[in-house]
Amino acid sequence: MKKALSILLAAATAVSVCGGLAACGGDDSTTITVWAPVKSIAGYKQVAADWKKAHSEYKDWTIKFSAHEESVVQTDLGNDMSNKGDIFFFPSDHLYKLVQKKAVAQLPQSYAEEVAGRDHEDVVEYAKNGEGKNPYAYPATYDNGYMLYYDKDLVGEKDIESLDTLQAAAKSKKLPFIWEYSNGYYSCSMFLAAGITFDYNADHTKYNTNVNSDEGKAVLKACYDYLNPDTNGNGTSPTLIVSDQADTKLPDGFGNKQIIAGVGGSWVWPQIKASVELGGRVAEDVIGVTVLPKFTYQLNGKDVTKNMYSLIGGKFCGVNAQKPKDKQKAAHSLASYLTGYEGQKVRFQTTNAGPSNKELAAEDEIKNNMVLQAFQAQKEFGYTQNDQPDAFWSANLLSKISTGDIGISDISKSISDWADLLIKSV
Amino acid sequence: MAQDTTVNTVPTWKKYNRPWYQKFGLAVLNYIKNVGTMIWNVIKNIPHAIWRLICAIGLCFQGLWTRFKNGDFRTKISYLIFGFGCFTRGKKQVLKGILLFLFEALFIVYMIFIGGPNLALMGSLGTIEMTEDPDGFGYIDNYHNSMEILIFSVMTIFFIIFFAYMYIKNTKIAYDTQKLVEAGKPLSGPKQQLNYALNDGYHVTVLALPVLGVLLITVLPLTVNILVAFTNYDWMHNPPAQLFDWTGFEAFGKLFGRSFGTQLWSVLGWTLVWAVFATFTNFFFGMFLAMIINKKSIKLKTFWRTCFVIVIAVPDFISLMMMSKFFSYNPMKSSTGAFNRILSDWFHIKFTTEGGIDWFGTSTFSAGMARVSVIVINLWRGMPFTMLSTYGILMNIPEELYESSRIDGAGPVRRFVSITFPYIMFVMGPSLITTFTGNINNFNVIFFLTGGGPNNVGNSPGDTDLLITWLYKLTVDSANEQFAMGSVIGIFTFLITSFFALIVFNSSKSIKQEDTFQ
Repeated sequence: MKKALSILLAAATAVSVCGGLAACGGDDSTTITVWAPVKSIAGYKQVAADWKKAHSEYKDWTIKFSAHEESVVQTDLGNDMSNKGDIFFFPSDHLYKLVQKKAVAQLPQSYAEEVAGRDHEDVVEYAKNGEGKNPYAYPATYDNGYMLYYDKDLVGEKDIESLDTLQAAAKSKKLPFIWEYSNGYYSCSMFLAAGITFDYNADHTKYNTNVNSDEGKAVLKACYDYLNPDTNGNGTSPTLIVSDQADTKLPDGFGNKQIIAGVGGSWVWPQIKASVELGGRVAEDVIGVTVLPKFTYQLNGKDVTKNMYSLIGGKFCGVNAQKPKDKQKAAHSLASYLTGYEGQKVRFQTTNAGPSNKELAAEDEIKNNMVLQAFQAQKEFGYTQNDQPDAFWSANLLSKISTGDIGISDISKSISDWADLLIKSV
Repeated sequence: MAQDTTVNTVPTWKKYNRPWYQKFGLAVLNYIKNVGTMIWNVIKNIPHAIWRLICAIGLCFQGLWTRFKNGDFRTKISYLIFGFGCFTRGKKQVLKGILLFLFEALFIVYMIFIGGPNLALMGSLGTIEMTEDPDGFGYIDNYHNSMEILIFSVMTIFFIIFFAYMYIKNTKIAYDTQKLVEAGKPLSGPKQQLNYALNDGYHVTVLALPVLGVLLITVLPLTVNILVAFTNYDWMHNPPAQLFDWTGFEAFGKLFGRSFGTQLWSVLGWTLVWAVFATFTNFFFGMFLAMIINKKSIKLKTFWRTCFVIVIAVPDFISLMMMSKFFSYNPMKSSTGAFNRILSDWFHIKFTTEGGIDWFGTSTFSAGMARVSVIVINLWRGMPFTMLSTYGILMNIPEELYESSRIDGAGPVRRFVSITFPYIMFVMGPSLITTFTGNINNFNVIFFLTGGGPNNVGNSPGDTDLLITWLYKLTVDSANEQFAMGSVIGIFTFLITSFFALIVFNSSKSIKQEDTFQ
């Protein structure tokens, strides 16, 4: 019995060891893995095939595409990047975290010069992360921002000028206006418009913000006037400025003619178009896109009117810096091609993404695109999106106002509490 | 008489007829005194235990020196080369000697390649950080990884301790072999050694691999994680990209100090309140439920029991997730949770906001609502467990006790307080405290129902966060991970849980002293 048991034990150990060894193996030194968002993969596959034709030294290499949405790439990469994607696309405000994790390194000199020559200066400057000599990644798009979509059948040019006129139009039509103010991405719009800044210093040891000031308090009071349920209650929701998920509610709402207007990003346009056309209308005719409306706040007894601001950014394409050198050489070549003129053109054609490439941006097709035109106009009222602490995204001041949690007497305290949280978040 | 000093003496405060609240108060005080005495005894014993450990180690070294003095040249050389004392004394012990020698060789090779370099860097936890390659592509390869250094250093220390043990063993073997040869007795050959390994020494053979596994998979990570509490490992000092260093008690200071300190005590307070409520509401409601079902006049006892037990059959994860969605709230009626819809559509209850009641406080940020909801839903989940256990106990209470009490004129409340409740507490007392300790770390209920509760901002704890869910938030769920502080919270939770576990130990001892239940 004992002998049988010991033989069984030895056999089990041997089998598990073999099983463990079998999991290793496989040679992938000539495979490049690209992590791209699902909708762009089809287009990029085409571009990658062209790259292989143009570079004969890599004709035996395989290029694999794996779907990873840009916003989750940073978490998907984790800490040990040596077996993750070789090329990945990520939003521009994640650049700081990726540089800090040493997932990307400065571009080699030749590629850096190429990028500086062909892409928009703002984006190139931003890709340097504030301290590098060369950019850390290739700019892939430059259209991250939000603007006002409106239904031309329900509201006219006059109504969309300011938040007040929009609110009046909403009340008269008894249909809501969507502004996702429970999401930190959209709710900072008014603060930024008043000239308040939110950013870290260069080495991320201090957070600077002047939100705890007269402007900040004035803006929050203005939000209170617009969103407070007691003074604005009417119809289907307390204020008719409804905070709902822009990405889903805008297409739904416009398709069913249930909303008069909404704040949405440039990426929602394909869904809006599809939904409106499903409802039997021609999207370009009935849906208009323009800069965000103006709003008014009281400062030192005087009324100040400003345009609502948008966070502006783009998408970058990074090369995994923790891979063997040959892999990196090939990956840099491919990444540069994917974000060059052809790559950005294909991405525009398949997903309506705004290019950062100067040559492409000057073409008529891009210039006449309604959404990208609005983006260009909104850039004037834009604030570069950079790395923000969690307290910035999840403070939820505006939702608390709309449910009555923050009353008119709490405004000062809420602002200073928020400023405290932000500064302490280092 | 000897009987007078046995454990069945009744304490003075129980003897006289005092009102019940005085008795209860005195019982509690007595209990606390017992716990305090026990803890003091443990603390008193610590220096003595340390002294005994030092003496034992001293004896080992003394043995080493005497063996060296009395050994012949073969034994003396085996102090340098393992197994020399064995394989030079004839063919029989060659195998043993070679194995010992291989072990020494393995140790030396390990120290040269892994142990030495890592141990040398243990003080600084790495000096070379990842820097960019000036030629362009990527980063230079020669950087240090602080986490690897920490792990390998601890592993090396374990190995060194084991090596020291084997060193002493080796000298003992060499000396004993020498003594056997001098006495003219035969040495054991390979066959006898194999026989020993399979029979008398079988426990060593069979347990060697599992013990190694436990050391590597359980003890090593535990030690490393406790050591992390003394470093500054967080998202800004995250290997392999950056190095982290030893910072001593800085993480402890940060956690107990001003910026996080107020939060820690409030989280601890809520954790204890939650544990008390979760345990005792489950206990009392389960007990009452069992009593109701146990009544003679209830039909279909099995059916009612099955109904409640089905709740246990569904896994935690699914039932709690379902509950959190069921009671969810949204200001707009079309998106609000099912329960709110049922109340407003089927029962036509008018609420102040069309979405219904915010059970988990997600939109109104109401902490109290969330905490009460969490306790009530935990009651729903936990009641069947206590119902089943108390049901079994109830069935065992002899009927004569009830009969005689009814004859004596005791009403139902009196019967419950004097018969049923003490009986159940006697059996379930220790189990209650164990459940209490378990509820301190009840991750599932809090995490799946509220995710830590309203007012979740960054690394700050939400309103329903326990210590353990806050730890999760700081380390797994956060964009700015704070591993060192998470480790400190872990150590703190361990201390608290072990404090209560000691109380269990105390109760079970005091219950053991009552041979029969009075």
